[in-house]
Amino acid sequence: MSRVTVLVPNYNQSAYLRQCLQSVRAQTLSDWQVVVGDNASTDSSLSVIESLDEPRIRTVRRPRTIGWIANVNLLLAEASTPYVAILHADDWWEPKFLETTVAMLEAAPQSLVATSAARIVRDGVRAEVVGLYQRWNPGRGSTCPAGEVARLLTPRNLMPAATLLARAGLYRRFRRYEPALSLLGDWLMWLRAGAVASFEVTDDVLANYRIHGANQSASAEAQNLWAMDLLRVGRLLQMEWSGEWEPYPGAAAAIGAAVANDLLARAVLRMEGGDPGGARQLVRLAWATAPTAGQRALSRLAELGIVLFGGGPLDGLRKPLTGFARRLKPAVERSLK
Amino acid sequence: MSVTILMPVYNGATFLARSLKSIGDQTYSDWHLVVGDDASTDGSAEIVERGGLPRMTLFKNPRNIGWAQTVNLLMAKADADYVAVLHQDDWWEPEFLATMAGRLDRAPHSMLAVSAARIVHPTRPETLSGLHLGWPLEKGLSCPSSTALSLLLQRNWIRCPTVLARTELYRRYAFDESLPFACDWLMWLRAAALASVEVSPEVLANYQLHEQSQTSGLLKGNLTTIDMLRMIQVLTAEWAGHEPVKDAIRGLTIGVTYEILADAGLKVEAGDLDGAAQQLRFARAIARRPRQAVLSLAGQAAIGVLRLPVMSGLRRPITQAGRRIW
Repeated sequence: MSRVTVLVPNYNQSAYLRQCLQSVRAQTLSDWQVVVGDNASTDSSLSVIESLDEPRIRTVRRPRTIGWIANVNLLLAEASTPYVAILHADDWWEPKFLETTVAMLEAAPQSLVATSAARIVRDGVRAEVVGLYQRWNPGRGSTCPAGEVARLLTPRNLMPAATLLARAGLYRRFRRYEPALSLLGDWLMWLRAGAVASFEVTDDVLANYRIHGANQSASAEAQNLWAMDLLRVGRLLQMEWSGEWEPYPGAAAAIGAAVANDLLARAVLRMEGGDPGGARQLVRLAWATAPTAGQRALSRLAELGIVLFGGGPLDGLRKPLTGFARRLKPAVERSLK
Repeated sequence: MSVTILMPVYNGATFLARSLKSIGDQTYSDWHLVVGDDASTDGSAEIVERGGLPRMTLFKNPRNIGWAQTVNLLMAKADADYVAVLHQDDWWEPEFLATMAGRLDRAPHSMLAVSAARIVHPTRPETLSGLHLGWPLEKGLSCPSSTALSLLLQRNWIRCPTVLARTELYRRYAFDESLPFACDWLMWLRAAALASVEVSPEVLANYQLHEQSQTSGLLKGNLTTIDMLRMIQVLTAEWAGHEPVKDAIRGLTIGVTYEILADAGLKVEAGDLDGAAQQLRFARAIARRPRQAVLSLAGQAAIGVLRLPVMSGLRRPITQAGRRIW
């Protein structure tokens, strides 16, 4: 039996699927099997898989397209190995990913997750690197303890799914990705896991995370779906992280504050993009959900700014002001802490 | 085959037998039942198998994925003209399928036929719900698209077990998996925007509420609110530039705001002041009518007063008075 199951959810990613699967075949650790969860693709995905003629790759097909989270949750049932990775069909690994992360978990039996850094590839262009290492000082060792992981990930998600190798126990403890989160399901899983278990962290760049189809994410942004997912993550964790389940001091308030901050930051972007109506909606939601008086006041102030400078005779001041707000933001955040 | 009945099941052992029996008791027999067990741990799948219904297929999800996801998967098996979705806790009167299928047969342009529902709660008295409350029988059996939509923008009059839909509707739209508590409402809004709705005032379906469950627990309120906010966002994008009726999004936002305000009242009664305050802030954040903003503000002030220890005894009388005024 192999040691690692690589779950590959795929929906119409035939353009990238070959690179993804080839990157698994090129792993220096050969002790793996792949299960592709094809979400009723209508492109040539299946023939791409067949053409590889690889006995360690098998495919399960959904009879009808369902959400990607549901596809992943069903895929989890296919993994019976000690280690599980989820590699989206448009992402790919460097050859040493599995070797490195398996070794990290074998050396640290108490950790549920090992995570590397990832190179972001935006529309085919190599861009910045992200990873949990950015907020974890490697001088403190490779093991980021339980609670601390959740604290580091609270402001935002630093871990694309491709950077993770998980012990199967992770998905016994947390049976499923939250079905209602279309965009932030990963983040919630890492926050929940990081609240109870330590993570192994490396700054080696072993994964590639592709951002493409600008239209799709732009439309999610336009529909405020990010904002809705943010609100849900905030509510769920505020309920879960109360009382004795608090992973670090003040966690419930911190996640609420992070959600409000993110909404405000998105409002600034909206304003810059010339959509004062959308920006106003976002600051109102930030106000409704903000846990601290300071953030509520800030949201009110931002709304006033939008009303004054969005559209009317003062519109010329919009750009300099949002630029100023952006520069001000780190200082404000520090003062709110 | 004329009707596919889809039944998503998750830990439904308590009520499942009643619901299966109501399918077996239908006077209309041209149906096929497709059950999707969403990884139940209470033996629900065995109850379905032992139920001994003819023309039944059972699928089991290897992991729990959620009810909307399960229905969407099952929809691949819907090969009949009409589809009904019956939840494990709800049940039909024997005439349901016969009446509703008859309605759709006679109204080839309608996407939905809906009956009235009896709402059953373990401790509260029974109530009735249904689109007939907004579109009375005297006006005819078929509620035109724009009227049905206007009614549904105000609130969700339609409970899932009261619906028989043309399969075409579900080929066009899947249940939105990102809003588990509001995806049925979204579906009926989309259906009404497409076509007229057949309305039946007869009580042919029963809808079970629970004391403590997904659909009545404290947990639910705020998540439902987020679902409804999300629904507004989805439709805002979908209807951008061509709203199916005038001011549709504004109307829907007003409807949702009232739902949130009403839920805040329920939360106060249940003693969840923090939850209520949160709801009121959401209501105020999206309120489109000055009256609603004032109501939220008044509610916030009232909660401030109720928080005072001396007021705790007065909480119930005050909320009850509030409800009567409402």
